[in-house]
Amino acid sequence: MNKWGVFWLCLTYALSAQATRVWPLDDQGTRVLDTTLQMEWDSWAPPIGQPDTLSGRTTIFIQINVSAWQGQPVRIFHRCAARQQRPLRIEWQSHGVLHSGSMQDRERRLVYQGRPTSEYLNDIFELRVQADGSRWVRPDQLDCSFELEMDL
Amino acid sequence: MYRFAVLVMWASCMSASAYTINMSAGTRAIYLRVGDGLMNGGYYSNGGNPRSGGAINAVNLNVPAVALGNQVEQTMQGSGRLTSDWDGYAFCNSGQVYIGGFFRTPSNNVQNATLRVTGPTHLLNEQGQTMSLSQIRWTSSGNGDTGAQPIPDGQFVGGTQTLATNFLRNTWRESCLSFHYRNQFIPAAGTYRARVTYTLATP
Repeated sequence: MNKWGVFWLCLTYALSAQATRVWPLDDQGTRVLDTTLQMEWDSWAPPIGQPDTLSGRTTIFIQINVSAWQGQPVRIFHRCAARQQRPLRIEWQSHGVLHSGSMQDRERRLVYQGRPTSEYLNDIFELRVQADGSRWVRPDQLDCSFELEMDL
Repeated sequence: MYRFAVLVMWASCMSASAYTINMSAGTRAIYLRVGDGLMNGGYYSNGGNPRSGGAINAVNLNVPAVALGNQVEQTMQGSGRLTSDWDGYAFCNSGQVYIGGFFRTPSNNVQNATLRVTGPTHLLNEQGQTMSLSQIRWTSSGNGDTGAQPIPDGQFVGGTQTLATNFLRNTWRESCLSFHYRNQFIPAAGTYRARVTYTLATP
């Protein structure tokens, strides 16, 4: 490839890199119902030949500030990561404008695609966290956030 | 207008946050069934849960007078349910005593619960005469099992005995014990009784 080829390749990459931008969203209005999510065994006794897992459930009142993007086509993703222990599986059932979904920790899932019509997106998540009983050995924290993606 | 929008977005980014969920370490549990045991809601595999209670089971033997002290072992007859509470499988045979349990803890370390039995040194009859508890021994088996049993063969010696130290966390351990009277002496006439208690202890 000659130098003009390299130039056009770099220019194309630079343009495409700017085509989509991601912003972390303000969800300061979000509230977790339980102070501590209690992890309980999914099976009372050790299962034979099946994964031995712990699960905990809680309710989360979601409030996301999308005032800066009202009327614009956006995609919003939910992302969660445990601070110390993994893997974790996270599932949530929504009751409003956001999508239900599931993912492994450190992944993200689309929960909204469209044009927000108000300053805030509000929803309630019934959230379940599931961990491997042979790896979940101490209390931990799960940090979740929302990020907005928009094509420029 | 574009600059304004960018500024608004930037301001929004500056106030971005995340919600945090505090999660507990997970529960610990321990369970031991000796002979009978009580379940709610069917077997474990169907979502049932064990509950405290059940009969205190007996192991009996009537020794014919002509056989007393002849050194020929007599097989004792246990009582209690013979099925595993996992799925109802007939794990034990008639006359055997089921012993099973587990220890649950969220951990990635090797942690074992310990099974012990505690009893007196002697059986007593109605007149207060004694017979050594060591006259009773047991063998261990389980229908469908191959290899060593979680609870090995043994013999009562009185006091507290450790039967197994390998009740590995989050695994099911079960065996069926057949008790035998060793018949080494001619005891005074009477019905001899003793009670032993099995204990599963977590580290």
